[in-house]
Amino acid sequence: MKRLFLLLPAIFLLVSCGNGAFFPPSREIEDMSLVRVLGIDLEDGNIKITGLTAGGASSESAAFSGSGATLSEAVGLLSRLPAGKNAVFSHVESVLIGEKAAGRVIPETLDFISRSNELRLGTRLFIVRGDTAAGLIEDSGGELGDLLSLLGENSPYLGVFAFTAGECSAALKRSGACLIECVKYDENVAPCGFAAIRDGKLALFLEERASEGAAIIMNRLQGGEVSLSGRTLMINGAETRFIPVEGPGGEPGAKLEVSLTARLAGTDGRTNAGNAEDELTLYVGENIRLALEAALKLGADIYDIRGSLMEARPFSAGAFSGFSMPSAEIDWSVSAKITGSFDLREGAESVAG
Amino acid sequence: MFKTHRGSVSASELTEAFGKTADLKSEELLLGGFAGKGVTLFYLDGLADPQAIAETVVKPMTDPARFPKELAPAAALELALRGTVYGIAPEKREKTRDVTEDLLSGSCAIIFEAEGAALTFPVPAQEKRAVDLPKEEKVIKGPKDGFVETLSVNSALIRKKLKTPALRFTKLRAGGISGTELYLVYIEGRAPKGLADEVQRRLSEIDGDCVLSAAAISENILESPASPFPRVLVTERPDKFALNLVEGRVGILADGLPMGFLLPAPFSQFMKTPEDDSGHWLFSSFLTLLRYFAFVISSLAPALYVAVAMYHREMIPVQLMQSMVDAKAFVPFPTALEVIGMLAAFDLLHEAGIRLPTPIGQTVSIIGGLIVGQSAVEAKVVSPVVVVVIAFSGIAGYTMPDQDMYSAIRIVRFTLTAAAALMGVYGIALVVSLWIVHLASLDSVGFPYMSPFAGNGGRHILRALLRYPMRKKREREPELGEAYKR
Repeated sequence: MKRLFLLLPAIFLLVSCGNGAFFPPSREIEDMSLVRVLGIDLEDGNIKITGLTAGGASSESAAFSGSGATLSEAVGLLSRLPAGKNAVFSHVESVLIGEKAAGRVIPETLDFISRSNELRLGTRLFIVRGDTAAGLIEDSGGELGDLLSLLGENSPYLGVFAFTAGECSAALKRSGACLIECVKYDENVAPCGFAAIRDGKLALFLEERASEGAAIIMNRLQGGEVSLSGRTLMINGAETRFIPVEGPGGEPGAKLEVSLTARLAGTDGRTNAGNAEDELTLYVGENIRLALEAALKLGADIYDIRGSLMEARPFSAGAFSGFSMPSAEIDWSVSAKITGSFDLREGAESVAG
Repeated sequence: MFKTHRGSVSASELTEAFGKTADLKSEELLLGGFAGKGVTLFYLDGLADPQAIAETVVKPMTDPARFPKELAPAAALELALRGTVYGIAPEKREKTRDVTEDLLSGSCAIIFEAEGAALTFPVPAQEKRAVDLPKEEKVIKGPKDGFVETLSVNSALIRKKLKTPALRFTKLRAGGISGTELYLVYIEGRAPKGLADEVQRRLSEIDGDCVLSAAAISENILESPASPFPRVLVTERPDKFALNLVEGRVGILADGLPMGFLLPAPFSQFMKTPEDDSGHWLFSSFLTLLRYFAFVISSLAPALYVAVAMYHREMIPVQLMQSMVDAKAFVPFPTALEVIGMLAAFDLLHEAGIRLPTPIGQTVSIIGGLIVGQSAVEAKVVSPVVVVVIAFSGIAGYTMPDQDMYSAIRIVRFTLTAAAALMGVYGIALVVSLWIVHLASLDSVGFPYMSPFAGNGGRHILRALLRYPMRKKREREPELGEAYKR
């Protein structure tokens, strides 16, 4: 016991070794301002950081900014918040990257997030189309953090989901490419497809139907309304099975079997189904084609089809080591089934197909 | 026929031993109704019952039919010793010190000057408190009797519950001035061999003038009383006392103290209540587990709040974090000072509630808790989150069946909060480690304090955490072993 008490001074020093302080630095809650959204832009060749703090009963949401040659320098040169508060980045939920900055800062952003002891790998990334991140933050006001959290609801199209910094880093390491959700401001913050990043640069955009196809391929389609030939269908969910196949030259390929269920608006879905199932099958098939076309154009397995094949055949994982998008034979089949009906909401607009 | 050995007791020596105290009564006893026999009666006013003395001692001893004139003092002494006198259980004493002890215990003494010996008859005064409800250890279903200050009454209560001839009472005395009588109680064959002897040895070695409080016994029989954690189980319930004797423990009863002491008392014993044996075993087990959880929460809650608020904000969801920021917006004090101040205030209220007379104490608790607390929050002296955390911690601590354990928690809480204020969760982990090391190093009369969680290979842990069904419940504590080992 005496030896333990003699060790205590050594333990105290270990707590904050190197920074000269005896005890770790602490901060009081009231001195903190929680940053919920971080924006990254390029301005005059420098990186500009814009932060949006959370608002509450004691303080309003506020935006502040800083510039520097690198991301770290920009964060270090952040202007002081009102009332001398300190910005705290441990609760940043979303990082917005301006479209112009996306061509340069994505690897640096991912690296900064992974090294930061405050920012988390679960932080969602967004690319702002047609505007800067600072502009979007300014236009949308203090509720931007909540708006970005609710992006999937009331979406104009299906397949809205955000990739986190950790997922993007893993995808870049795995295939050299990744997807990042895009947003724009049009009276409100709205999703607008995905951006494909290749070799650290913005390569192409996946518009809405291609984004839906991407969601189906990645088995992340949650459901929503689709309007086809004047009829409104509610897709309940989709499931994609990956079946490994061998191409003509022996190269690994894949067959996607997509099955989805939907309900038809009206009083008797089954009776009035007509050719709705066929139309839905064609619609989803076209979405998958657009998504695969984008991946082929990019030349990268951005949907991690190889990973899905390895999951389907875990004991033959080595067989897919040669899988690559340019050479792989990918086929797909879609089966849609109308399982019932639902009442169309009053005043609801048909979703553009 | 009669022994002629002469002792050293004399009336003058006895009077000198008590000084000129006014409550020592003495009078020449007319043995067989005849004076000059050199027989003197002594008793202490208030301790002995004069009525009983007159009826059971004086009356037969002054009867000429029993004690004829020609009867020699030695013969008279023997006759009185062997039951001629009504008083039961007379003791022959040949040393003044023994006579004084008996007088102090409520006996009367008949001094036979010629023989230098005395006969003492126990005739204690009947002024004693009636057996009443236990004040601290209340149960809903269970016996409602509690120990009183009179040793004989307490021992009788135990006898009524354990009608076995194997129940042993060993009489001891402690305290140079108080001369407190003690009973060492155990069940032969249940208590580990040697344990009773060890406890008796420790009680005999109590080196103090006064043994009138619980701590005078509990601290003196422990080897190192520095730990705040209780290692002697103190109870005011005879049923709990009896149950622990059956489990193999050794008990101590003290004259003047309405409580019993039980050894060995590991940590797990302080998480059990007498109510556990009254309810269904599943519910009792749940409550026991809840108490362990409450122990942890009560100790850690204030410290965790300080650590998270000052160092580890990222652990809190953003909505809650913003609420905390808003709540503390205008509070001028640092978080650590706020929490420590509230802990101190809570303890002050607790003490005030105990010390004051019951009606006022309840009012003070209500006023302190509701009005002062509410006013402090509205005046922005403390934030509401701190009030909630401290109240939660305090309520969790009140679930402890033993007040001594709750007192230990109060100390542990302060150390953990201070560590959290200095070093965050790392500080909490450090101090918790130190407390665990401390607990693991403790023993209760040689038995590991953290048994059965540590010290015996992890056996019987479930027995400590749960209450087994009565059909499967073995009465004897298996970890006590068959023999006492140092």
